Amino acid sequence: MPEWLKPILESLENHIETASANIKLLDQALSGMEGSYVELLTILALGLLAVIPVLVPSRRRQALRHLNQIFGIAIFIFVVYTCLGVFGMIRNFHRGLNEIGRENIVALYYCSVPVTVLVMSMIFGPTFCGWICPTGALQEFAGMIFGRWHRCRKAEGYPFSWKMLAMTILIALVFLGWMGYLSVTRVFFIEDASIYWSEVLILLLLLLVWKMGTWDKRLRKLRVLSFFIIVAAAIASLRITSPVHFGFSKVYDPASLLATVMVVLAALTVPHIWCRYLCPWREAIAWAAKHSVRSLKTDHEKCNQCGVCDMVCGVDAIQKGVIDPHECHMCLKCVDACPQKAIAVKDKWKAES
Amino acid sequence: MSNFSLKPRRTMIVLLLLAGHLGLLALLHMRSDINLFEYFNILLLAANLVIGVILIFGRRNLLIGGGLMFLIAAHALLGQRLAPDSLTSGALLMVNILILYVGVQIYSNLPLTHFYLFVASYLALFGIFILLMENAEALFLLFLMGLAATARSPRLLAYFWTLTLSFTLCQPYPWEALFIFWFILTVLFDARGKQRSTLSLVFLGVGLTLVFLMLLPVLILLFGEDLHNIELILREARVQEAIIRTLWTATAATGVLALFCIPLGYAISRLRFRGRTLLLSLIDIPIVIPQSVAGIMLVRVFGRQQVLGDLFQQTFGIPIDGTVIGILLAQIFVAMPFFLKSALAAFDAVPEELEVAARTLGAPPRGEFSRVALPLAGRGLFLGAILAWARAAGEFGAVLFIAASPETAPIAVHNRFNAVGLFETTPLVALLLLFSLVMFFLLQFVARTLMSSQGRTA
Repeated sequence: MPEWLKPILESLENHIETASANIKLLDQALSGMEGSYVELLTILALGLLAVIPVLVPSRRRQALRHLNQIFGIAIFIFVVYTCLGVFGMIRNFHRGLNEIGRENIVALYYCSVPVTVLVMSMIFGPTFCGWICPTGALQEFAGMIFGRWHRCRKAEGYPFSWKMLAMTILIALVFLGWMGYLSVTRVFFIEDASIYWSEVLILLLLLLVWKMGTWDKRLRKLRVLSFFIIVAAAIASLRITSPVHFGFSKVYDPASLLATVMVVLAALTVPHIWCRYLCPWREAIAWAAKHSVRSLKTDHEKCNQCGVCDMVCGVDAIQKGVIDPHECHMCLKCVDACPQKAIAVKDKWKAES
Repeated sequence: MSNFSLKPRRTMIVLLLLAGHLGLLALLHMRSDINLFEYFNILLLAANLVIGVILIFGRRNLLIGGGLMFLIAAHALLGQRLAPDSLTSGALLMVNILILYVGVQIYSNLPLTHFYLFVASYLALFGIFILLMENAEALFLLFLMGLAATARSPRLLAYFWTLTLSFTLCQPYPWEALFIFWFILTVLFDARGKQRSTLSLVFLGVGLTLVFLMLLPVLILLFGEDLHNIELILREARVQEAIIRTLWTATAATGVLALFCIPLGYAISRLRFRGRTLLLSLIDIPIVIPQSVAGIMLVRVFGRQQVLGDLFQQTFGIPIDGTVIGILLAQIFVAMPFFLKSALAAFDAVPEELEVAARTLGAPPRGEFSRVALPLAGRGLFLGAILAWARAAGEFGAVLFIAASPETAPIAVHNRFNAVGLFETTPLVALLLLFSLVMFFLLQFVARTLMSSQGRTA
């Protein structure tokens, strides 16, 4: 390690240590909230945020959406920080369901976020992903930096590119370097699972450099796997933390900061990479929203297959006007971008069966 | 502004709602039940005023707007009684607004009976969580959201209600109850066929209920045991030894059975002889007799100072009872009918014409068996082997009498229960249950998917 770097790193480490002096360890944060009304605020806030996509005018919708996402980040930081990101959400849901009939307030406290999100998804579609989710927002904002380059790559069908390989290797180097530094200074806790998730992310990135064009659809099945991993871990009450719980859950340990940085960096190379391939909560939302009342419908009479919607979609959920509801984030970019006004939000109250 | 006009009916309703809200609030304030100047009450009043103004001067839906005003007024007046504090009351108000939205949509889009179903569900939830249960406003909130999400389809509503019932009525065992309810519901909703009628569905439902009542202990042990305890049990050397011993003895017993029963099954299936029916009935004896009887019989013959046991000890120098050989013997005895009968059925299912064809094409009798009958019967034989293996591994009664001392897993459960009691034994039982179920389903899966594809190519 060069000499000039040492004082910087040391001051950084001191800073982190002072910041983490009043760390809430995960277990404490999960149980020490009695008598607070966080859960009720959560219902109010998330409920309101979920209704906003329904109410906003179609003019300047995307700007309002980004505003809503920023609100979402704020709400997750200041109100629901104990939900510990998506993994904690699933684990807390399991805990909360087990508290029903014993400690009802605790049950509400643990279940409020997941129940609100799932219920809103069942009625209004997966709006949580596109309008509220702080992890998704973080990735989307990161992806905007290279937006034009992403669109070119997508138009070419995601071929192998040296630019992407260089970026991935750079990211991997940042990751490895920092992890090595952390393990030397012994701040890095091996049991912090978010590290492993970001390692998976790195491996995925290396894979995606070569084969994204052909393997994109298949790799998305990984979300099911990660969902069941988290559910099994919740039942076994193992401590698994998600990459982006730093900040959103006030867990200031360097490992989770590193993991968060990783997700942001990875989103630079592949937009919404966490949502596409790994997010277990995205899978749960997709299941809940499978028969949602509100969904996007394409009028194929009007559609002239220009492919503008393919270009604007961040998660490749639409192909020449044909929407894959399992991948759609309900961000409504395609609705706003369609020159023919062929895609529209439709309410359908009659059940199919 | 030329065509601006107030609609009298609309204005009347709104003003009536506002007046009711304000008047009753003032009245309750005078009786000092409610503090009118509390932040939350002022907020609700202001909200109602704004909505009222929008409703009078705008063209919004009167049903939704009026309902909203009514809800807000009701919460302002009654919220303090039902909810412990104003924040809970506010959250309840939000959820009720969601319910109102869903209700209005159901009322205007779906048949009226569906709307009544929705209202009845709401009232039932209110009854359960507010009137019947103490301090359950939090649950009321959660389950109202569930109702809002599922109300639009009867099928989803059925799932929702079974969820509610499992978590309220079936309280110590909600997950088990939920599993059973959802399985039965899924089967009922998915049942197809030409004979599908209400009667057959009722038959299905009633039958499944009994089946699951029988399976309830299994589910409770599977879901209810703490994984940590199971892990602790698994760490014990004695338990590990017992499980490993069970595994290899059962496998060995199945191997021995395969060696004898596959040829015997083939022979009985292909040959006709006097006493065949008698032989087929004799096979069933180990199933028919009680396990303890089987154990005593084995001891009477193979035990120390008995006819064959003595002979065996003199020839090989080790006794049969109290050793692994005794365990094997008992397992073979009880598992034999399962293997033999499966082998018989499997060979019976192979058409004899195929073998005849093979013989006319010049195959020797050995090839006829090993290249035609055996591969075609392979899947049935494998399933039979699984059954026999499970039976051998699970055998308790016969093994207890002839060889209690090197412990197999079932004997270990018995000894532990006698030594330390019920609650110390359940983790071990859960472990064994988990283990056998995983093994069983895995092998079944292998037999049904892999072997069937192999059978097709063969």
